[in-house]
Amino acid sequence: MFDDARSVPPQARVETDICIVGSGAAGITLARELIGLPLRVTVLESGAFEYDGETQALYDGDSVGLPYSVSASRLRFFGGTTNHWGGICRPWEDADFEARDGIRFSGWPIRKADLAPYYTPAARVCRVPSPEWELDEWVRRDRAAPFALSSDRIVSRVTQIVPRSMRGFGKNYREELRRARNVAVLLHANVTNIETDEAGATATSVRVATLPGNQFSVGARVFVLATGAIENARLLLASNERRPRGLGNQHDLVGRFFADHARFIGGVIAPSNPRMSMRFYEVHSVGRAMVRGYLATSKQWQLAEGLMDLQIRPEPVYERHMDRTITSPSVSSLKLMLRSIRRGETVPGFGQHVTRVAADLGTWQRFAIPGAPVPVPYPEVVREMAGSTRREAERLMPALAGDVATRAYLEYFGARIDSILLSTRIEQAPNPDSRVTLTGARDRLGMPRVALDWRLSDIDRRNVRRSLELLGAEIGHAGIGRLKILLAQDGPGWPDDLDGGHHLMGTTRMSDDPKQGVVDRHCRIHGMSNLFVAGSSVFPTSGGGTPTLTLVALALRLAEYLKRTMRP
Amino acid sequence: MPRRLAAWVIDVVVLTALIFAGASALAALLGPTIRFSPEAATLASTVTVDTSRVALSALVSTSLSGAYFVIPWVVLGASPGQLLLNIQVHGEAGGGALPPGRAIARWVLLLPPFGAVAALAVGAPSLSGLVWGSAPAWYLILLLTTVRSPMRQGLHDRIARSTVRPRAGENA
Repeated sequence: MFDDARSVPPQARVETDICIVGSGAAGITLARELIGLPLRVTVLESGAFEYDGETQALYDGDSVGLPYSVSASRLRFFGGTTNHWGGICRPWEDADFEARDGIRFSGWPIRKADLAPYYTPAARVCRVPSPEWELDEWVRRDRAAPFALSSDRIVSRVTQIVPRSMRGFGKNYREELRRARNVAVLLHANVTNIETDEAGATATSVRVATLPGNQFSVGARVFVLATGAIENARLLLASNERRPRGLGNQHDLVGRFFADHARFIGGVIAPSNPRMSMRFYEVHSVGRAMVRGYLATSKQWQLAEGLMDLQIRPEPVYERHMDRTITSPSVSSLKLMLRSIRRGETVPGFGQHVTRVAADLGTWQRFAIPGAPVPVPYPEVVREMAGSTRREAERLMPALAGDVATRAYLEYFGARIDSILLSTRIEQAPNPDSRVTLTGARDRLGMPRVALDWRLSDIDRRNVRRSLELLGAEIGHAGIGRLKILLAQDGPGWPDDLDGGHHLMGTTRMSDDPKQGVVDRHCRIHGMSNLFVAGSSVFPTSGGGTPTLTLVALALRLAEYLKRTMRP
Repeated sequence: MPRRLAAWVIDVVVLTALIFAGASALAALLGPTIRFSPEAATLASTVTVDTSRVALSALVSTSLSGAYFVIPWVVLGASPGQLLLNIQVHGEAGGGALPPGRAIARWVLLLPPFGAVAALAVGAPSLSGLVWGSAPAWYLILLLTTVRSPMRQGLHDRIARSTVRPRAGENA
């Protein structure tokens, strides 16, 4: 059921068994797993069902390191950041959990085998279209092919993309949570403090404030923070009544090791064959699944050379006219119509899409002589096309035949590629200096605001350079083209186009050693009996793959642990 | 029936060639209707269409088309293709060639569909795209109604009150 925190009487105390703070991917997954149990579950959500600027402004903070949008990278309403999730999924591999030689703080206390049973259910939760992840199987099903590389140093991998209409956890699971009798979702409920016993070893309640002003508390036997990497750290650091450095922060680790998949154009390939197919590395359909391939150093090679993981997405830059055609509105409309027909879904504004495609298909008629008994082009059109090279004719094609016809032509004969940009997304090495701290400024509810000091290190630079060098050697050897690495070998700066991947991770890292991690292998905060953390803030390393599937798998594992250990 | 179809194909090919030649002559005299600038900054300016010239082309080609069919039907009782294959267009009641009004009606029903769609494309591209399929559909209707009629009178013949027969002493 849903309730409104603004209607809870001031200074009231709400009692529950499990209190989940946050309703993003982790919070909702956890709450769903607890439906129907003889336990009362309360989910506290800061926002409501839609974006609200005032609530979102509670996220505002400073970025004092590498450029990072502290507020825009997350969303503060029911469903959390899944409300603008890109839907890209891939489970992590064994090596993602293992320590790397020469990389301090790398390695997880759990192994892939510990998480493996949860990946398939996590894929169902995330609505991933296919349970298949093996490259060979996708290559067998796919008309497109990956680069044929001759060694095992660089490999292709496949990510699946959840259809846009299925991405938002809030939309997907709202009805299920509304019907759940033992789960109450309190909207407009902002947690501002975690209260503990005198020893600071057991959480007793959380203090809740709403924007209109009423405040109350929620007491529970178990608390789970699921508010994302920045807010989890913020809440722990701000809860300093019993522990002056904040909860779980006895070793000054809360907020440290902030990580994201930094992305930038790491290199550019001049292709040997400008008409080579890049389809495998572009978003495309294989059966009912949307997939996209990427390149990476192989896991064996990463372990052998002590490299962190990375994703290299080859992004072809087509000739101007071709590029415009590929992304034209009429082609998008046609794709949308075909997809909706195939899936039996309705599309808003279907008529508009039909008209747009029809107009585009009729482009060629503008160049037929009106009044002729059959369509015959003007003499100057015939002359121009007859006297053109293939390249010139292709340049004129969108204007003469329309975007849809040109797209069909390109599909079969290949579009001319000017260059291939390598969009590089890196797993950054664990870095204690990359961190979230509190500032003196406060938000509307009196919570200290955060400063995010996102940092990359020389290890990251070396990692990218080495990985791109390996890729350059491989594609050169395979005759695919010549690679120019754009990332400078030395120097303090990073490329101007560097951006975060909006994958916020690592501020409450997992370790069996309380001196190296904030939470233990069960996601419980070291030194506390009943305070847990769900979400990617517990990731000790950030892997090369996207985090959502893994954080959902971890939330399922945590749910099972709570079910096993809690008695009604 | 095969001879009628063959005559139609001959007429269409000859008329198309004439119209193409007419458009070439116009282009030589007045400059091209379509201009190409492959290196233009925007796609819209890669190929530009002079709409006043399109109107002139439409006028010239429609006039040529009308003249090609209507005059021979009224004067000789057959279009050039029909003359070549020894068939004639009569009034429904038999006897002589079609009077001008019925010849024009027959031409209107037979010729302009594709041409009209092409003209529409300049002014209302989306409408043109939607109605493009109607031109082949119209010809299919004419063909089917002709084949199914005992007198081989298609819809256009029935409306124009015309029949197509072999010349005297021939079997169509």
